[in-house]
Amino acid sequence: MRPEAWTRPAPGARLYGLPGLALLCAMAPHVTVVPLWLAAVFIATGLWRLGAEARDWALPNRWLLAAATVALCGAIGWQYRTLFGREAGVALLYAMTSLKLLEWRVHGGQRDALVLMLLGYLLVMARMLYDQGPVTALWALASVALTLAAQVRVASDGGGPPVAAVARLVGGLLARAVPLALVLFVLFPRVPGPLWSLPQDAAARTGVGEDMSPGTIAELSRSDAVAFRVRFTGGLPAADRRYWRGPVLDRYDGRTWRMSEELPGEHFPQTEASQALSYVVTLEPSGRRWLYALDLPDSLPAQTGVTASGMLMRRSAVTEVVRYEQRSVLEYRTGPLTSWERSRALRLPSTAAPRAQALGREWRTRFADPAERVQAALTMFRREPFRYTLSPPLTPTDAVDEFLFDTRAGFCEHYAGAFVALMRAAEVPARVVTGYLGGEPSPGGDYFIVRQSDAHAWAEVWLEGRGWTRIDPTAAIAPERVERGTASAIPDPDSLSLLSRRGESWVAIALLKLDALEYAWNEWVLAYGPERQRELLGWLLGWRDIDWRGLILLLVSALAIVGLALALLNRRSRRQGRDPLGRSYARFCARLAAIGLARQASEGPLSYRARIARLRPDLADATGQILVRYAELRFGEHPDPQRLRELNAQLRRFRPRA
Amino acid sequence: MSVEPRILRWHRRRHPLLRTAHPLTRRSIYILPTRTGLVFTAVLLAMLGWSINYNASLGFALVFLLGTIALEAMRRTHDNLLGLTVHPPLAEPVFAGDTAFIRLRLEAPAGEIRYGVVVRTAAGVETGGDLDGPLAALDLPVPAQRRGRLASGALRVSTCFPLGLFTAWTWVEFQPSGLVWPQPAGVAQLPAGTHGKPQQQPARTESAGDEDFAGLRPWRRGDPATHVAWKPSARSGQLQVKQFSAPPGGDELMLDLASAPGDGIEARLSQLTLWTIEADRADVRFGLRLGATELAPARGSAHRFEVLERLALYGEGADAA
Amino acid sequence: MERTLEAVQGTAAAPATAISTAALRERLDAIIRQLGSIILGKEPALRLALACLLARGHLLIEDLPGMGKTTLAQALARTLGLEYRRIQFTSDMLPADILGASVYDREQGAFVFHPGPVFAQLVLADEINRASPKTQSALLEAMEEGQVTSEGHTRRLPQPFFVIATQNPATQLGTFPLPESQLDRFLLRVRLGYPDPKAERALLAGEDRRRLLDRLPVLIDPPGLLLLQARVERVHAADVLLDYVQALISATRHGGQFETGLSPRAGLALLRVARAWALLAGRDHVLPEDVQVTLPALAGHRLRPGAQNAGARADELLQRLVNSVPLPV
Repeated sequence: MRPEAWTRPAPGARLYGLPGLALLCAMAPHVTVVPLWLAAVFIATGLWRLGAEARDWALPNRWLLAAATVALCGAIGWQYRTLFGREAGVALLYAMTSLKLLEWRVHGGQRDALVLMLLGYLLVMARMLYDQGPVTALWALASVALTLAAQVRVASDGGGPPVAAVARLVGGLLARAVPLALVLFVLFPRVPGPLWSLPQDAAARTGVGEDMSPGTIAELSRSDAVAFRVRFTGGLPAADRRYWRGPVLDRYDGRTWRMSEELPGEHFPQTEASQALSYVVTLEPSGRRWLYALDLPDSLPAQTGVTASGMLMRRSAVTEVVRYEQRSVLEYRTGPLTSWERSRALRLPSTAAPRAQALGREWRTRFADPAERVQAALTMFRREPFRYTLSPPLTPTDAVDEFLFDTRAGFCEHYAGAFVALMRAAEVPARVVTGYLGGEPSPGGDYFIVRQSDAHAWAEVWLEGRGWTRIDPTAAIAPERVERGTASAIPDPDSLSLLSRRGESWVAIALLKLDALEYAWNEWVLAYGPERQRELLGWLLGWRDIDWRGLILLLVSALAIVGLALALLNRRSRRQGRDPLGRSYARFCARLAAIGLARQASEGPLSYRARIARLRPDLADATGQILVRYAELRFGEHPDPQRLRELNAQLRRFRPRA
Repeated sequence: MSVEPRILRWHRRRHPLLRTAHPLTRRSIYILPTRTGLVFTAVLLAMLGWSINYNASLGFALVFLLGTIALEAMRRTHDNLLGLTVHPPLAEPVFAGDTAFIRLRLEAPAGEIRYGVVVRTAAGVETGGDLDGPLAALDLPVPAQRRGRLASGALRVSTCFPLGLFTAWTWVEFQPSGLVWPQPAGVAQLPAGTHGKPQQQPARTESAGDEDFAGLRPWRRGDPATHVAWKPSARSGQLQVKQFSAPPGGDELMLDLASAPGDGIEARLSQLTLWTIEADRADVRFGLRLGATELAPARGSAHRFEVLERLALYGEGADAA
Repeated sequence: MERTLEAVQGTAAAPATAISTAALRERLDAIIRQLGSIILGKEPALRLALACLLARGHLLIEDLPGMGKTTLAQALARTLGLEYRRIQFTSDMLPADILGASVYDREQGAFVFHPGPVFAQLVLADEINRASPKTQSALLEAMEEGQVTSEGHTRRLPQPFFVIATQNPATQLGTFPLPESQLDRFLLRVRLGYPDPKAERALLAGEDRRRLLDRLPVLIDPPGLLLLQARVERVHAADVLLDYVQALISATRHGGQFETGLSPRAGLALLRVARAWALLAGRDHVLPEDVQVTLPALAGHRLRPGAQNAGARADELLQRLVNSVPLPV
């Protein structure tokens, strides 16, 4: 018994360990995005803080800190040209945290320390602006756990429980919170689209863009980042049919192909079509508004319309993982062209590519049938010594002419661009279509991964009676590109990144296995939005078409469920958790029951001891001690906590054998 | 916080002054977010807004996780006080105007450690720490303003453990229990009128000092066990208690409230208090007369305490008799 | 009294409140040992008798004649230094024969009260069922109240005051078995029963019990006994134990095992006996076993088997009941 057991907290190293570790953990991943000098500032302030503790270095006063704050803000503003937006925001958060380290005084600095902890949570959140993969999720969980532990320490002013008890406490908090957070995650109403939009960040994401000039796609081909994943719910399309339609580029300025502004509607361009193919796309954030579908799309995901040129356009840019169910028709005819559409599909700047224009005009006179003009161009690509390469020679003056008549080496964008220019010169309506071609089956084969290295550009010509017809000039020189991907089509595949090469190395296979995890994560966690929620609730509750009233009802019931669950858990834990002795005793009895010495329900500790001593004299000593101690603790007056700890220690060692 | 006085008034209406050890119950524990808790809530709301706007699933997950953790922490903060037993404070007697130190004892339920429990007096003095063990005591200064029973006031027992996001608190207010003697004041010179009167009677007075064995008497409730005379008790078949008395002294002094100088009762009581101290220091036998009640002359510390207690409680209901 | 007190001095020098539980246990063990040397092979019954005394209750011994009931009472009185009286109940006894009566004293010219045999610290009421109900109830009232009221004067009985009543279980002509309401006034009922063969053999070989009795030393004195009784009340009963006692009591009321269950007063009595039993075992807290062991002696005479268990013995039913009530862990 210790009648006077007030232990005063002793600030010092005990106070720094956990918060320091937590902040380090929260700050670490940001190093990849903040400028190096800012990371250096963090390390410097951290060391200063440690020095102040260990060596009694002086900490900066308020004026110096204010000056440092202004200086850092200025530096960040200069670096990013703004103080708003994602990059600058994260950098500011980073700088604030670093400086707060110096402001945090040990004595009476509890509030500063708690602010640091809040900054820690914000840093975790900030990381999610960049990445929400499973690894980030694990890191976030670890970081939150550490920060919680640090907060316990800070809130007790450096006193409080020993580290092991803090760990148990945090574990208990998380164990209690995770299931309830899951309930909220599933039931919290998800509303479509951004309610307000922030200025888009300058740094665009990789992926197929709004325009195409020589080198654009080749550049993309070096990246093995995942563009999207597809699971076919019906049959698989043939390998040469896996054209994922993206932006349609029909404006040419002599160097760059661009998209026309088109209003998305609900009418698909196809007039006749084969049977549709169904599949589910899980699209990584692209920062763009269009969605990808197999050529041509036949259904509209939520918040999405289709343009006259057959592009799926979303209301807002894809900034988070989006999952949509999609149907496509692989065989189709489209309707007649309006004169305005026709003129747009034939427009060519008069100064651009004079040699190609001349050749086109020659074909127009030679071949009456537009289809023959198309064949003439493809024949040219096949006959002449054209090469398919990732690193073609530069074409500084006129991309089309120099490619067609001088270098004759290019990547798909060169072929597609030159082909469309030739067709337009030959008065065949034509346009460039960009997107992806192919996809790699996952090891289990249940889904396909489409990477940036699968980016592709092809052409469409409009032919009487058939409408828009896909022509892939790349197929004329490198048919294996269509069948087996870029790596098999170019002479220098080593310049591609590892996963784009479709190799069989064990590293590649291992990475593909990891990708399966990421796919599941995307499917079930990141792509859980309004549509999936509606699907899930429809499946769970048979509740279709939830309107805003339904969502509010849902929110209220979700909160009620959480509240009720907390209350129930509390009552249970009060019964059990308030009785560590009872739990220990139950464990002890369970161990004895396992060797056939179960305690009878009405058997008191001393009778139990006597019975065990009679039946198993070898256990008499060990069980006797435990039981006597238990009896004292359970039924005695003023039980001594120290005795309980001793009992628990004895129990841990007690492993009876039959 | 400005709401606290109002809650305290409400609390006092519902909870009478305590007399005995008091386990803290759900009814008497209040909980509110701390300033950090409010900032934390604001940060969470901002994060939720961001998540809603971008349908950021992992953002939702983080917000909900932190939110439910905060709720759970609220419960734990509340339960950190629940079941704690506060024992009535003990206080050494002091003179009015001094600061009394009350010893408050807190008891955590068996086998539990309660971290970060803070006790604050009405005057704002704060102390506390981790409560590990069946009984922890802490000393708190309480100003003793007027003589009589010492009111320790509403003691605020609070905790922010574990996360510092919420603060749970309650007040415990015990019946005034300790003694505050009157403030000694007036003239230090002992009154001469009764001073120096020789004590003629050889017979022993009935004073109950503790210097000398004076005989046996039957046991009464409240007699200390150490005074029981076991052998004679066994012989007579009845519990007998040893009685002690002081030897007859030379000088004897009777302190009388009626004849003490000073304006008003309080001043006179102060004067008597000062004389009591002086008389005790001079080792003079002295008695006390307060109106109708009288305490026979004696000496010794027990007697002094008795005199001071009567002075302290003079006029306070039944205790004064 | 003088003679016995000489012997006390060595043992009763310290107040029983101040001594440690271990020392207390030693002393109580010595008492049990001494009683055991007179009543052979009956330790459980002896312990129950002592526990009954410590719990300030009265004891009912139900046995055939010649089982050592009187010897037990005498041994207790000797060992504990109690003033002892024996009342042999007969059918023609009047209440005044027990309580005493006022007799007119010519010399003083006033009524003088002559206390009856009940004014002793340990009273053996032998064959109480032979007396008329009126006489029985006079004794029982005195037991209950600790005082005797006659002719308007109330006289306190001595302290401690302990009655051992014996009753012959065999239904005989001309007896008045105690009604249930009166049985409740006895805290415990024990049966001594026949001694086991070994004990009986030792009994035959040994000295005459009565002569042995005279040589017994007094191990504790009345004030010491009072202090012990006070100490029983301070034996700690934890909340879980109170729950358990409550569960046991309520089990006697439900399930139809018994005609009527135990009363709340019986519940309090059970707790008191369990406390005394715990003190006898040298503990300062009650364990469930203390309750389980004392329950049959406490409840056996208070309960009658219900209709569905007609013919079963209350003791067996109680044992079954104890086995059926789970202990709080």
